[in-house]
Amino acid sequence: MTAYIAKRLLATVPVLIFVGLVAFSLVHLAPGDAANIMAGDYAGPDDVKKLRTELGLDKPVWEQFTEWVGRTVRGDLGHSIFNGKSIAELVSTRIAPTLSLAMFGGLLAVTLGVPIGVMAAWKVGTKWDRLGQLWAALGISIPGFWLGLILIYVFAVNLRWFPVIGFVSLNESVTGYVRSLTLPVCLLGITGSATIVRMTRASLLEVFREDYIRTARSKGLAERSVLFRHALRAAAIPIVTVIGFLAAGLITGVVVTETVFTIPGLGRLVTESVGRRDFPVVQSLLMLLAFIYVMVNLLVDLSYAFFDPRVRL
Amino acid sequence: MRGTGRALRKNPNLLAGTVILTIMALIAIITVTPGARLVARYDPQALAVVHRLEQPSASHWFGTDRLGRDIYARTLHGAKVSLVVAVSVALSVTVIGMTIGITVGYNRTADNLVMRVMDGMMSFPTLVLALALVATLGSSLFNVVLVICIVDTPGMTRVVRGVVLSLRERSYVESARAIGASMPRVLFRHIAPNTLAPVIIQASVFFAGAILTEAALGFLGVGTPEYIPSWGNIISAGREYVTINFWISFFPGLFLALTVLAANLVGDGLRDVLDPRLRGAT
Repeated sequence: MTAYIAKRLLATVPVLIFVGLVAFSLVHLAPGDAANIMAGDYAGPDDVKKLRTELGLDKPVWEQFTEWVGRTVRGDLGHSIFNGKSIAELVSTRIAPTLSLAMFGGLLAVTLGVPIGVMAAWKVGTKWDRLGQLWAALGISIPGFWLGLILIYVFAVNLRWFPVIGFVSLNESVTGYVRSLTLPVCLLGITGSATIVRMTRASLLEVFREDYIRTARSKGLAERSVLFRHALRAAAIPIVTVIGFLAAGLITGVVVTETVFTIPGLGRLVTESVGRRDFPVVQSLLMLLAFIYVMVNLLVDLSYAFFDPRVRL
Repeated sequence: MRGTGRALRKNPNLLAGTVILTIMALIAIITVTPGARLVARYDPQALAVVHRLEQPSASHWFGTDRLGRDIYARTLHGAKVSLVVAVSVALSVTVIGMTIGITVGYNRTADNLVMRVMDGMMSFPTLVLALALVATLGSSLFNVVLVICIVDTPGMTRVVRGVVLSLRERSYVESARAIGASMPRVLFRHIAPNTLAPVIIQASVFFAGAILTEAALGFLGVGTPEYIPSWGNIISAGREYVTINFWISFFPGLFLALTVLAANLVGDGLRDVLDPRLRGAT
């Protein structure tokens, strides 16, 4: 197991280097002068020149790259060119709402998705199965931002149960925190559950075809214990991998959800910075989110090996 | 053709998806012809500030936006952008993915290098990478298509490469090589045609995904520029008015959701038809 962990950890190194390279190249992909684009429409030539020296864009590319690598490795992500704040500070002030959203949203997605998927597979071919599949098809097809606006219109504008926009931190008010997060978490949970339903259903159906399930049935076990004692145990492993997909869905989900509900989290920071052409912040967030994504997938791979010894070979 | 008819009759989901997609395609085509005015009733760009933010009515079926533009006309014209993006992405990714996938499936050295790069690209959350790239390259319809192609290519390449790797060991490929068939002949006559089924299935997934990503980019404010009405940017413009006039965002979103649903239904239907082993699995 240790050897396997070491191997998988080492394999992430080139991926992370690649992620860094892409993030670095971003500024140099811009058509024309990046400093010009970042400075905005109202900047004079002096402002542009100042920004260019500040960001080191006047130096040769390889020199910029080595400097950038040095800084990044030391954990210095640089400054926002919009408000001059350090990016580390920006991230730390914005991370709390995003973590709450991702945690509860992910939890809701799993608690909705797994039972619906199990139900669909267990009652395969019946109306319950079709309902489960309809849920999955709608969840995959309906754009999250549109569903979010519908939730706002119905539950916040008309019924007035929840605030239309904004976020209240846990320190300010517990009820405010719950009220401001309910709709966004529901949105993430509903959209996130769709893939889980599909994966759970598919992997359970595969297990149902196995010989030992037929044996369990033919020796007269109740359907319930065939499902819970035999089938679900074997299907658990592929369901774990779904969490990897869920992580991808959640990262996309928080960007969209925070924009719909105007929640000041990391996702909204991404869209704000993109809109302001604040490249240093966009670069750092791209790296940070890719890093989180790579790490989650690493954990999923490792847990896979933990549950299924065959993988380690 | 008779096979197609049977497949459609046997699979109501595939039929429904095909019908909806056909209607959307017809709408998109009509909006570029002189008949646009008859069907859409208004010019999608015509400003009428007197009639701004109106609720749906007999004269403006879907209401009007903050500049008094007719949402019904804008929604119909938006179909064009979604379908152009989806078709361009699906076709380009298929061609690029097949070219790279077949090449690396047959060349060990290229395989190692190219697949590491593809793995690296897949380690980005797609929407965030697409956002960053469009922001850098600038918002235009072409760049939106380009960026979605960039983020989708690794997925297609992986699928093609996987199939090629399993096919090259088959005895019929070995026989072809044994009787002296040249490498290009083996690749294009014997291998490429057999990758088509999984490629078409994957392309249908990207077709639906491209519609969603284009709309999401538009919603987040970096996609198709506002002078070209797209479902994403109409919904985005309506977001601020959700408390006053919810319908600005509702109708284009409904068209968007229906189209993506239809594309997914067609994709699932194609999977059933092309890959009988998976029938009923997903």
